[in-house]
Amino acid sequence: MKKTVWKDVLLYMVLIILACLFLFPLVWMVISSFKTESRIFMDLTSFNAFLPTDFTFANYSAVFERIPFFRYIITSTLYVSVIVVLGLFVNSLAAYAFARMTFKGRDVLFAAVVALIIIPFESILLPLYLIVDELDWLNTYQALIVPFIANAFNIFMFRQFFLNLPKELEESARMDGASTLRIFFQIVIPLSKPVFITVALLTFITHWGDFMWPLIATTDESVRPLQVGMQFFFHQPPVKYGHIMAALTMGTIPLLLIFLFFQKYYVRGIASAGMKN
Amino acid sequence: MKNKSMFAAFCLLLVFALIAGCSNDDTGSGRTKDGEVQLVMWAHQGQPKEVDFYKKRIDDFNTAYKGKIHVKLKIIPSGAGHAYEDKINAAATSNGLPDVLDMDGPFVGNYAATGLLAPIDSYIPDKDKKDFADSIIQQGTYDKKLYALGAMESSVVLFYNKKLLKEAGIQAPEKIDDAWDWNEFLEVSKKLTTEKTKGLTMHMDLGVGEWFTYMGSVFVWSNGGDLLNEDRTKADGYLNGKESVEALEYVQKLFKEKVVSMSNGPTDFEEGRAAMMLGGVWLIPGFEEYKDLDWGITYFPYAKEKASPSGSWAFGVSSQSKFPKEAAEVVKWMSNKDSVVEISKITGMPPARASAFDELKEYDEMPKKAIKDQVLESATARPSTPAYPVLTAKFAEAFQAAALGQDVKKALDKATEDTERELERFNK
Amino acid sequence: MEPSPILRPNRNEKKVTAYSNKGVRQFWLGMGFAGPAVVLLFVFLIMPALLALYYSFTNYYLLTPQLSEFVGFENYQRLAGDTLFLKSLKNTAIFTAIVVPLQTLTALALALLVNQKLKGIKFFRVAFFAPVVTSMVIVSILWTFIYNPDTGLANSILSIVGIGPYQYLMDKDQALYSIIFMSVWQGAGYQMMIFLAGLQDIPDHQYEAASIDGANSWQKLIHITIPGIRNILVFIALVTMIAATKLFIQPFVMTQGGPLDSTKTLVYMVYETGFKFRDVGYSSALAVLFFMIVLVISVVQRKWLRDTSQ
Repeated sequence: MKKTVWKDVLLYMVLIILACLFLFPLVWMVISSFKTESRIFMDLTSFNAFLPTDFTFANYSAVFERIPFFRYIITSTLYVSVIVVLGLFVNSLAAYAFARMTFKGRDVLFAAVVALIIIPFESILLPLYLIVDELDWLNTYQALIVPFIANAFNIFMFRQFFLNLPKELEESARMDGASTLRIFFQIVIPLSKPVFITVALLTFITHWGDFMWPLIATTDESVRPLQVGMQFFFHQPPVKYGHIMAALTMGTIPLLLIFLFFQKYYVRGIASAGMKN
Repeated sequence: MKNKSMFAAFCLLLVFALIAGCSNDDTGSGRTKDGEVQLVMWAHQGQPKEVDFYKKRIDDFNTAYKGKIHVKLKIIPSGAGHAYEDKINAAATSNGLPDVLDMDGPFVGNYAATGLLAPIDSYIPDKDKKDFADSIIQQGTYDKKLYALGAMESSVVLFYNKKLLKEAGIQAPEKIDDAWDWNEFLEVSKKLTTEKTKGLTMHMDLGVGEWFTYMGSVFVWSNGGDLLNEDRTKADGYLNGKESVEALEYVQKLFKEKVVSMSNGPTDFEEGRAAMMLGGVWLIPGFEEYKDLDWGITYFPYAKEKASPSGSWAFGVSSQSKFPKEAAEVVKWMSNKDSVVEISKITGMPPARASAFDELKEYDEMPKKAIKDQVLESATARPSTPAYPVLTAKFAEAFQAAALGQDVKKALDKATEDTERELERFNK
Repeated sequence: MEPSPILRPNRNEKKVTAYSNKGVRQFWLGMGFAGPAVVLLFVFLIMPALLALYYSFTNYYLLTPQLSEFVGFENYQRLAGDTLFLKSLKNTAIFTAIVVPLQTLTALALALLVNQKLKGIKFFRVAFFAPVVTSMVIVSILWTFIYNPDTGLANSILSIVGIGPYQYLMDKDQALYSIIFMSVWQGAGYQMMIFLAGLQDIPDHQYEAASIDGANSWQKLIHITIPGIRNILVFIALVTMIAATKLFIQPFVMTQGGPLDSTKTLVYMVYETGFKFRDVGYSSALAVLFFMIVLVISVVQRKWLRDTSQ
C-alpha cells in the first residue's frame, strides 16, 4: 500500500513539473498583458513574471488604437466559416456521388481525387497566386475562400462514412419517388451528423491557422485575417511587449471558445481521423 | 426540408454577398465630357497625419486644377513586410496600375527597369531638380533618367543620452566636420559600456531586412566603397571589394568588443539601457513618451568619407497611364516647395529640398541641425538597380553574418554571387 | 452497388429500352453532384500544379511575364549548385528527423501519464493541451520574446538551475533546435489527445489478465499498450512527418530564416525566391522538387505500411 502512495506522489511531481513547462509561456503572456511595459521588464528576472503585480487595461486599449483588431477577428471568422459551410456542401455532395451513384468514369475520377491529397499546398503557392491574380481576386474574400472549398481529403472522409451507411432507407425513399438530391438532404445528411461535425471542426481549425496564403493573397487591411494581422503588429514599431501580449491573448480567445463548445466532438473527431487511416 | 433549403439559400446568399461586396470600384482614369482629365493615384498608408496630408494636398490640387485635372486618391495599407509592393506587383501584371503612385526609394530602379514607370525628366525643369537633395535625385534616377521625386527625406543619425555621456565625460561632436571617425567612435562606445548599459544599440532586433541595408551600407560608402559599380551592372569587386570587407569587419569589431548587442530590446536607448543609438529620424516623435530621456543627436561616424543613409517614399508616373503629362503635374505638385515644407512639419521628417530648410527654423540648431547637415552634405542613396530586392536581402544577411562573427569576406562573396546572378537577368 | 431484390425486376424491364438514356442521365446526375468539387479542384489544385511544373522550365520574372522564355533544365541545374538550397534541404531534414520521433514520443508519454486514474488528472490534460489552442503565429511571437538572450524568460528560468545563458535564436547552432523545442511544445498536446483516445479503447480486462500473470508495468506497456495503439502511433508519425517538411511559419516569424540561413527551410525558400526575389521560374523548380520529396515520403510510407501490416 505504501508503495502506491509513493508512486502517486512521484506521478504528481512529474505531472506538475510538466504542467509548469507547458503553461509558463501562456501564463506569462496573459499576466504580462495586464502590466505596464516597465513592469514587464522589471519582473522578468523574478517569479513576479508570473504574478499579477500590476493591473492595467492600457495595453488592450492600445491594441485597439493601433490596429483594427476586431476587424481581423471578424475577417478570420467570416472567411473561415464560409470555407467550412461551402466546403461541407460541395465535398459531401461529391462524396455521395462517389459512394452511391453509378456513372461512367466514376472510379477513375475518384482515384484522381484521392491522388490529389498528396499535393502539398506549399508547392502550388505561386501559380495559385497568379491564377487568383488573373481572376482579379487579390485582396478579396474570394481569394481566401474559393480555392479551399473543395478538399480532396474531406471528400475521402465523407465517402468512407457514406459507404458505411445502411442503404435501405435511401432505397425505400427512392421507391417513394424521392429525387436523389432530396434523399441526400433528407436522409443522408441527418444520418451523417458526426462526420459533418468532424469535418467542419477540422476545416475550421486548419484554416483558422492559415498564414502563408493570406500573407500573399491579401495586402489590404480590409481583408487581413487575424494571424497575418498579429504578425504585422509584431513587427510594427514601436514594439511594445505589453501591447503584443494583449493582442496575443485576445487572439487565442476565438479558438478557445471553439474548443470549449465542441470539446466532445473535437476529441472524437481527431481520434476517429486517427483510427481510420 | 425547410431547414435544408434555408441552408442552401444561405450559402448562395453568402456567395453573392461576397462577389458583390468585392467588385472593384476604382473605375480608372479617363477624360470627362468637358475635357477634365481624371487620374487615379495610390499612396501607401503611413502615419495617420501623413495620410491626412496626402488627402489635403490632393484636394488642394483638385481645386487649383479645376476643369483641367482631377485626381482620385486611394490610400493603400502598407503594414509591415512588403504588402504595398506586393500590391504594385499584382497591379503591374494585370494592367491595373494607377496613373500616379508612390513607392519606397530603392524600388524605383526595379520598377523602372521592368517598365512599370514612365520617365518624368522632360516635365521637371533643371533648375527645380537642383533644389532637391542630391540623394533624392539619385534614388529617383535609373539608367540616367528621372522616374520619381519625393517630398520627404530620411536619415539615420547617432542619438545619444546626454546624461550618460556627461557622466563619462564625453562631448558629442556638434559640427559635421568634427564627426567621430571609426576609431574615436569605437573608443567612445567602449567608454560608455558598463555592466548595466551598452555603449550602443543598432536595432538588431529588427532582423534581417531593409534596416540592415539602410544603416549598414553607410559603413561601406564611408570607407570609400560601394555596393555596385557606377553603372550599377556589377557587384563583383564592389560588394565584396576591399572597402566593403573592411567596413563590415569594423562592424564586427563593435560586436566583438561587446559595445553593441545582437539581442537588444526595442527600446534600449529610450529606457537608458544603451548610451547611444544608430537610429532612424522617424523615432524622434516616440521619444516624447520617455520623460527621463534627455537625448541629443550627432553625426553618423565615418572612415574616409562622410556618408549617411538617405531615401524615403517618392512619387512617380506609371507607364500604363494614358495621361503622363497630367500625371507628372501631380508628381510636381506633391514635391513642390509647399508640399515639402508642410509634410516635414507634419511628419517631423527632414524635407527633400534645400530651399525648404529655410522655412523650417528648428533645423538651424542642434539637435536637428545634424539631420539637415547630413541630408545636404553626406546623404547617399542606395543603388538604383532592378536587382535591388536581391541585393538588399543578401547584403542584410552578410551584415548579420558580420555581426555574428562570421568570416566577412566569405559572407560578402556569397552575397556577390547571388547579386551577380540577378544582375545578369537584367543586363541581357 | 447491388440493387435490392425489390428493385431488380423493375430495372431489368427498362434495361433494353432506356439503357443508353439512363447511362447519360446518370452520368449527368453524378456530375451534378461531383461537378462543383471536381471543377474547383481542377482550377485551384491541378492547374496550379501543372503550371508550377511548366514555370519551372522558364525564367518567368514576376514583374515581366511577357519576357518569359523557355530555359530547359537551367533552374534544376542551378539547384544542384545552390548552397542555400542544400542548406535549406538539410535544415528541413534535421527538423523532420528530430521532431517526428521527439513529438510522437512526448505525446505518447504525456498520454500515458494523463491516462492514470488520479485525482485532478483532467487539469493536466487541459494543461498539456493548452498550447494547441493558440496558433502557430501566436506561439512563435511569444517564444521569440522568451528566447531573447538578454530579456527573455528562458535564460532567467535556466539561471535558477545554474544553466546558460544561451543565445537561442541568435545563434546559428541553436536556432533550429530552439524552433524544434517550441514546435514540440506546441504540437504534442494535440497528439496526446489522439493517443489518449486510443489508450482508452484498450479493454481493461487485458491489463487485469496480465496482472494475474504477474506482468509488471513495463511488460504491460510493451505487450499490451503499444500493440493496442500501434495504428495510431504509425498514423501520427506519418502525419507529423509530412507536416514537418512544410516548416515555414516559425522561421518566418522568429528568425526570417537566419541567423546565417540556419533556419531556412525548403518552403521558406519557395516563398522567398518567388515573392521577395520575384524569381517565379526558380521558385517553381524548388516547389516541384518539394512536391517530389513529399511524394516519395508518402509512397515509401504507404509501401512500408502495407508490408508491415501483412
